[in-house]
Amino acid sequence: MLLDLRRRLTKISKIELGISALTISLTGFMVWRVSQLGLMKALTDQNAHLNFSKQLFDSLTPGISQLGFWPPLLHILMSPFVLFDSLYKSGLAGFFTLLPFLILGAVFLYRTCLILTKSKLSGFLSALLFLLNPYVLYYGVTPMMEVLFMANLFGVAYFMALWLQREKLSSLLLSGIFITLASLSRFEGLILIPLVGLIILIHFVKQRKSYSEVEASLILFGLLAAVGLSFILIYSWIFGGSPTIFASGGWWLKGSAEEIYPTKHNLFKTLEYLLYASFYMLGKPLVITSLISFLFLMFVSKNKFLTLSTLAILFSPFLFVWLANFTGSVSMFVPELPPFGFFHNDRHTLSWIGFVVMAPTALIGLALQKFGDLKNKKVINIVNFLSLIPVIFFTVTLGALNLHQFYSVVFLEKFEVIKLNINVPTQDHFEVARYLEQNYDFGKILLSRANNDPILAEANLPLSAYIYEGNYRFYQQVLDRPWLFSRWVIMENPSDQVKLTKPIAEKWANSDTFNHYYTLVLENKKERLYKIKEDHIEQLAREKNYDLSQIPSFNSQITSWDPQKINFGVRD
Amino acid sequence: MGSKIIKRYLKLAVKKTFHFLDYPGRVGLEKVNFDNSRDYLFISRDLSAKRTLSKETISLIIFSTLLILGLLFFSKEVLSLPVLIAVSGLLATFYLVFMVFKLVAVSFSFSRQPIYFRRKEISSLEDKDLPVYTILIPLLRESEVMPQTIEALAAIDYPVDKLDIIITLEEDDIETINAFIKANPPKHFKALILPNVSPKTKPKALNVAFLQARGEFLVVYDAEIIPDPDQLKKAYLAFRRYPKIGCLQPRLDHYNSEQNILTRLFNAEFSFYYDLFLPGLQKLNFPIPLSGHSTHFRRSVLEKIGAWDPYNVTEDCDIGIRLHRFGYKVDVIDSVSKEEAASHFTAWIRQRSRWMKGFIQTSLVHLRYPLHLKKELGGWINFLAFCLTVPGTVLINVLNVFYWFLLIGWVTTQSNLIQDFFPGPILYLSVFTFVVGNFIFVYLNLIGVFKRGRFALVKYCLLSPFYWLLLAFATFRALFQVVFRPFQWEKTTHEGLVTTKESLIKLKEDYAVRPKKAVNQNF
Repeated sequence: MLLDLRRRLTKISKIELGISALTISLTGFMVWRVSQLGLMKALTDQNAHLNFSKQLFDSLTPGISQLGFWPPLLHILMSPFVLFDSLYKSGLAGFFTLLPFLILGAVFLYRTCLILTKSKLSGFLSALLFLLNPYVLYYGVTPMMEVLFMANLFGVAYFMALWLQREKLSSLLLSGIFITLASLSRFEGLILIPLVGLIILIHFVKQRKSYSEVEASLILFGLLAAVGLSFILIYSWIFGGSPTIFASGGWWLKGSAEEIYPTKHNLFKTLEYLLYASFYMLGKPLVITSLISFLFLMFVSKNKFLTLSTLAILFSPFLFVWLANFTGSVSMFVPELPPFGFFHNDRHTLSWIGFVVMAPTALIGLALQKFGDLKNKKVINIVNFLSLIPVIFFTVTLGALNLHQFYSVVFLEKFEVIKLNINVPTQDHFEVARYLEQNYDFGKILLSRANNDPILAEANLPLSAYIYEGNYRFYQQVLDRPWLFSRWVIMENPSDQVKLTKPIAEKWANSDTFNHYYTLVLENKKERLYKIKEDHIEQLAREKNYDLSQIPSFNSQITSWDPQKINFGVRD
Repeated sequence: MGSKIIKRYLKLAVKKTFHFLDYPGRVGLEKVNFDNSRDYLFISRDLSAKRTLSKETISLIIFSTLLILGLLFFSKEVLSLPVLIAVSGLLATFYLVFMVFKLVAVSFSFSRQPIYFRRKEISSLEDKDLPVYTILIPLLRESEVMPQTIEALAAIDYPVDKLDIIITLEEDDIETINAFIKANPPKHFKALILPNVSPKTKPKALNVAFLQARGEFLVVYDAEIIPDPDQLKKAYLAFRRYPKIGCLQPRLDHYNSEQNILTRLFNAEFSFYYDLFLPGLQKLNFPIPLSGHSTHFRRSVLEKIGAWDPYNVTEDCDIGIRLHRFGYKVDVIDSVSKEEAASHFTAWIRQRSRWMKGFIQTSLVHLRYPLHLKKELGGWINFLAFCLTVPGTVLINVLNVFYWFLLIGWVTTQSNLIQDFFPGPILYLSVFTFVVGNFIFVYLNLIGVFKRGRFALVKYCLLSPFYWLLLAFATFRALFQVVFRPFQWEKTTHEGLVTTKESLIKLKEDYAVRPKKAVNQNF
């Protein structure tokens, strides 16, 4: 086994070690910069991911039910790190989880480029362009799913390219495994199943393989590739009641600001939004350069099917996001377009960075390869040598453009795109969190999770103290008669202008019964915080013949109960 | 130093208290006696299945039961864990260990190639340098495959004067004897009529024939087997190159794998076993339960280990373990033997019940003195490997049924009673092993047939769970038989698929069985 490990390790080239070292250095720098700017948990989603992970262990109902309906891989992988309170609080759990994937992603890009062009220089350049993207680094050091997905996507591209080149069964199976990992990282991975299946089919048809071999290969590949999708469907079915509930985000998205869909059912408008967002995420010059490079590449590439298939895989997230926005499954905002002034889900366009860096670098690689061929044939002359100049110029320009974007975003704009995101937690959330941190005594806190994740992350209370949608039977029971179970209630302020679906507010905001049992202890623009009126609970217990010691909102000793059996001490 | 002394005294105390854990004498188990024509048992009775339940086995069973009960009592009283939950946890852990063990073996198999010889090496062998090679073919009520047997053996590429072919026949099996005569085999084929003594099993026939064998090397072929013509030469080369190898096994394939769904799944199972599991066991130097098809031996090794146990209905499995206990290596050669897969449900069940019965017998025999077995196998890891490979296989088949019933019960009734057996972590472990384990093993079957180029079989492997259900049924039948009919040899009936002339021609075309120069001139 040790020998095998040694053999594998010696296969790692010096360039790959260099890429790994560069990744570690750049992410180290980025952790410092992002912490300095206070953006480690700048987005609600970052807080949500940390909470999803932590709730696997720390929840009223710990376990797999807490994974939620988002792709679960990040939550599972991050769970050992969030057990350390310091990593959970700081958000560094995300960095430690994602660092190996960032390295893996960069190495996969390098190797894929190497397969397409046989040029180490262009391979290194593709990894470099990827790593110098400020948003790749930002989402690589904060608890977000983008880098995890990209690494797995690049894994699919690499192993598919390898399989198309050598037809080794292991490469085919590994591409299937990486599709599953990609699907469990972000839903964009789901488009890879039909896409890669089609590539395999076309390849076999070209090779004139027998029907049974094609069938067998597709079964072997498909079974592995579909594991992720199967998990998502089964999980949704078991915990959400419908296999497709994941598509609408399940209970988490029920309460979030997702009602404006400016691009719904408009293909060109969707493309416009996506291009704008891509310009922000990837840099306008690089996007345009890559699209032009792609056209050239298709013209000069010797193995067009291999090149096209690899680039199609890397381009697939763009197609998925386009489709998702077109159908209205998700929405995207950019400041220049309606509803103006905000960013929302702009980061979804980051995922096609593989295509954006691969197209120009592969073109450079092919140019260098051609030069190398001439050199080998000893026909090198001044004209051939001069033809290298545009290639060098192109390479330097690409590097310079990327560096410029890096400098602008990190130092000049200081991640303005992140700060202008609609999902940035407000001071109102932090005010509630601080109040709870200072005044919480005991008992459960009822809230709806969406948009309130920053409160959970900041209040310094055990997550098992909260009752939210993910506690299923508990939540339904508490929502019906909160005063018997929940000592505290966080309710969205009904006067808030941002359109939210507000399950707690909708039910109790204007209720006299609710106000009879709860005192409003804090109110701001976004939230209201209520605490139980103990004397009114005592009165209720007397009237209904309840045993006070059996009422969770009253007795500090009750940390959990059986929703089916609890009867507050009433004798039958 | 002090701890070493304490450890030694503790060991001694355990051995003195529990006699059945270790073999009392320093020598004895390895003693063989070939002078026994009452039942042709040449090995020590302690290594034979002649007594299904010895007093040591009974003591061990009682001891183990008490130990488990004690652990359950401890978990209930000290850890406040209800007994059934503790049992459920134990079983889930067993499943996990079993799954991990198989996966580890498979992972090691990828870096293990069968012993391979180039064509040039094989053809460079001079006839005069080749040793005498004995081929043993025990037949019982197999008249329908006789022509095929003769044909396949005649096709073997080995000098006739160096071939010592012994076909054993039961004296009351007139039909097979007639078929042999009718087939008019070459002169170097010897028919050995077995003496009418019990037990009437294949290993007893082999032991009788072994006394007649004159080869330096020896191979056992089943009646319907079609070995690669150059298999003997490859085996000889391997024995010559690796002196520590005591036994060689080629890979097994089925010539009727496409016949029906049962044969397809049978083939898939064997593809996994021979290509993915067995090489892994070999690489890890674990004891290997041989399957008796085309096993090649050094005669000297068989003499030392006392040949086969006539009372064990899976003599191959038993001899594989015994070889390991006596310090001999088993390996795989890059050659294929093709045989017929049981194609009818009843035939398959009978065959598989016999195999499972043999696994139970082998477990009972070798676990008679567990500490002695551990020492001979080479430590606790190998001991655990034996436990998982032989008794573990039986246990897992039985447990599968229990869990399937539990699952069906829960799905149909949603009973809280069932749910209560699986609290948090145990539920996760059970679901993980159930879902992931089943997926992985189905998938490994798929890879097994794919690697053999049997692409058309791949889709059928998805039905493997149903095949495992049959396996569980066969195991229960075996458990019944081990108690009530321990030595009954349930003969696998063959369909005689290739007995017609057309079929034989087809067989030759499909599997390249061609008579070579080794065919006797007098034929």
